[in-house]
Amino acid sequence: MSRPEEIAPPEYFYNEEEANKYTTNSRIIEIQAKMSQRAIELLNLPEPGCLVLDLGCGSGLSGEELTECGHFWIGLDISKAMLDVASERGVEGDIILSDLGDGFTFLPGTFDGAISISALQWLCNAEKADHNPYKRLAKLFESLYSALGRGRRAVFQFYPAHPQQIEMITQAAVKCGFLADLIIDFPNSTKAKKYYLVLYSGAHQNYKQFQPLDGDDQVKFSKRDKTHKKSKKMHKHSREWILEKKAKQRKQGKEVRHDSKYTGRKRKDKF
Amino acid sequence: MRLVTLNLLMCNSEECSGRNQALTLNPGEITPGTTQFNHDLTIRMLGKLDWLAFVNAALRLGHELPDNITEADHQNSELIQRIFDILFNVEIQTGELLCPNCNRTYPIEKGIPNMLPQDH
Repeated sequence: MSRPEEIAPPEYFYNEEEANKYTTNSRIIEIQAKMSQRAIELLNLPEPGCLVLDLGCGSGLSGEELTECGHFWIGLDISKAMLDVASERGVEGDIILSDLGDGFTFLPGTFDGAISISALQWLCNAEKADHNPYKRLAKLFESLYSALGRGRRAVFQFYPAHPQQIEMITQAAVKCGFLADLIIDFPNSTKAKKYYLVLYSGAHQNYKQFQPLDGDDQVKFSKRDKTHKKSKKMHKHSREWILEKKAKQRKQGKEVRHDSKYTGRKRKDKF
Repeated sequence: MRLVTLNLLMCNSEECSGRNQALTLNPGEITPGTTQFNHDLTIRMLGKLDWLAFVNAALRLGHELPDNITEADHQNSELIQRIFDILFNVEIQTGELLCPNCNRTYPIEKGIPNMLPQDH
């Protein structure tokens, strides 16, 4: 998997060329929209007409989903080129050029929620000599905690490079007073796997109410099955083999044709 | 940048930490917006805004508003519509934000306020 955050700092990586991809590339747009919709679902806002903060709003793709749900959003991003694209597209939210790692200040307790799509991993790298990733994350969460109303949530979709990064991020968030919950969608797939960090400010209610898409996020323990070796190996391309393979791909969130009586059946010779 | 953001946004410099203040606006070019009227949002915002600061900011741009908003005013759809228009449909394209506490200025270009520290 390519990791753009390891190539250059966000304000340089997202130049005009890169920013334009976010208006022309339909694949990027689709993925961003899907992740935003899931994040909004996890945000669980009570009714339309809420004020939402979008951290790392970029060209405003995630904001458009918020607008569609009837919310108003204020977006922060460090890339000028991406924000220019957003304002050219005429997004319905307000955008501000700002470095998340430096924190931000709003009137305390104003926001009804916050989302962030693929931004957090950018803060895990030290781009300058005086950058300390942990401190920058802490600053972000501190600012967020004061900007959010009590009992509100923030949902961060991000791509962690390694487990320690998840630990660092959650630690920084918990230290600022949040309750944190990590939801992993499609845990069995390398490609469709998505991490959502849900932060709760204040109230415990509804904590851990969401389940990851497609079940098993927990490792199942079982004693080693001694009879396992004896079990008959499936013939490749047999019906059972095909059914199992399809089930596996379904778990990974791929598009798979439904099973029918024709599944795995041979064609007639004359074909 | 709309007036709603101006009202909520505060100075983020280290000097101001702990006693952050609302920013004052030196307006440049201003254009009308096209945001669709949203009643729920406006009512919700009324509970959040720093109303006095908003009235002052609106006055400087030539919009007059009452000093107080009561519960009864929530039913006054004409007033709510007017508040919405001033909050969401006045877009500041260029100008400058000034912090009265630390005297830092933040430029607004193409409707985007630049809140980055100056060494950027």
